[in-house]
Amino acid sequence: MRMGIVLGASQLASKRHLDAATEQNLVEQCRRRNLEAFGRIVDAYQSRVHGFVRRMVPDHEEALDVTQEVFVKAFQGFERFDGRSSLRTWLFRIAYNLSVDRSRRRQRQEPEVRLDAFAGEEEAIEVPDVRWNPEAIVIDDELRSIISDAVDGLSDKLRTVLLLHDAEDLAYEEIAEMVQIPVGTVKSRLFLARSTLQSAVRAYMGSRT
Amino acid sequence: MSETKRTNDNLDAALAKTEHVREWVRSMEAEEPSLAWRSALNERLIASTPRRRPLFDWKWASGLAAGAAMAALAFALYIPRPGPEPAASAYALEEAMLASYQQSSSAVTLGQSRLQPEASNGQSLEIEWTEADLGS
Repeated sequence: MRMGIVLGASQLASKRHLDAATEQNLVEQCRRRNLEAFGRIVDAYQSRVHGFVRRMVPDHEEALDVTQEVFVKAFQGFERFDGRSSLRTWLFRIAYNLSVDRSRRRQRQEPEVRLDAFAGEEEAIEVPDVRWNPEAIVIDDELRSIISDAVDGLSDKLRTVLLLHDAEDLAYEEIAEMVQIPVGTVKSRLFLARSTLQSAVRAYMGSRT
Repeated sequence: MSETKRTNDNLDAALAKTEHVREWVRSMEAEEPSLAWRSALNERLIASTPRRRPLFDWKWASGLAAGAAMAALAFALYIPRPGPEPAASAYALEEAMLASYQQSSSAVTLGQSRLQPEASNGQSLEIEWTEADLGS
């Protein structure tokens, strides 16, 4: 268990959720450089943004620094936020860009994912197995750790799509615009990421029985 | 049905079958940044806020005042101050004295032995000098 307050993502989201009217009001104040209003936005999003950045930037201290940078850049450039996307999408776009910048500095080269790359993967998962019922799996601490390690082991490209879609509920189109790839590639990367996680969980479940 | 459309439909179907992974991803622990982190963020935010220039800036104002004082001093010291206009009578006296001097010096130059004041009508005015006038 890590030091500090540790809560599930969904718990935090519900704890500090801003309704649309409040958020719009805060956005207007932030455009006028109201630091107090921006503080409320930080309260609402810091955990989620940090959760994303922490998965994208392996070093713990560096991830905290990048998360701060996300909010500083957002505050400095709030007048450029035109409201076409949601505030959450805008913040995650900044977080994604900064994480990618850090990642490029580390010069981690990943092989390009092709649309047909998952063709064999799908068949492998389709093997009939009466004992394999993923919906019925109870997630305990150990399995949570397996999932976490599997996510960390994904390439940046797969991890980005998985986290933005499955953890943050961003639409395929939003992710495609953010990452600047076609929607079809978003879907294929998401499927490949999910397949990798399934494989990891399945291997773990197999080793337990 | 085009190849792209078929691929897209296959992807959608495959993604629907793996929808349960979403719950797994959401089950991962989220770490709340510490209060120290938040405090450091606040400092960075305050530092990044552009500060408005005060309406009256003492640094600029004092520099401007010092410059103005030096300019005034230079003006007082180096610009010649025009004196009082001499009276018209003073000019006339000076001119008369000068004319008299020039006339006498011309007379000496031309070898005249004595002063011959001109009459107002332009004719020479003979003056009969007495012994008393000549101091003999």
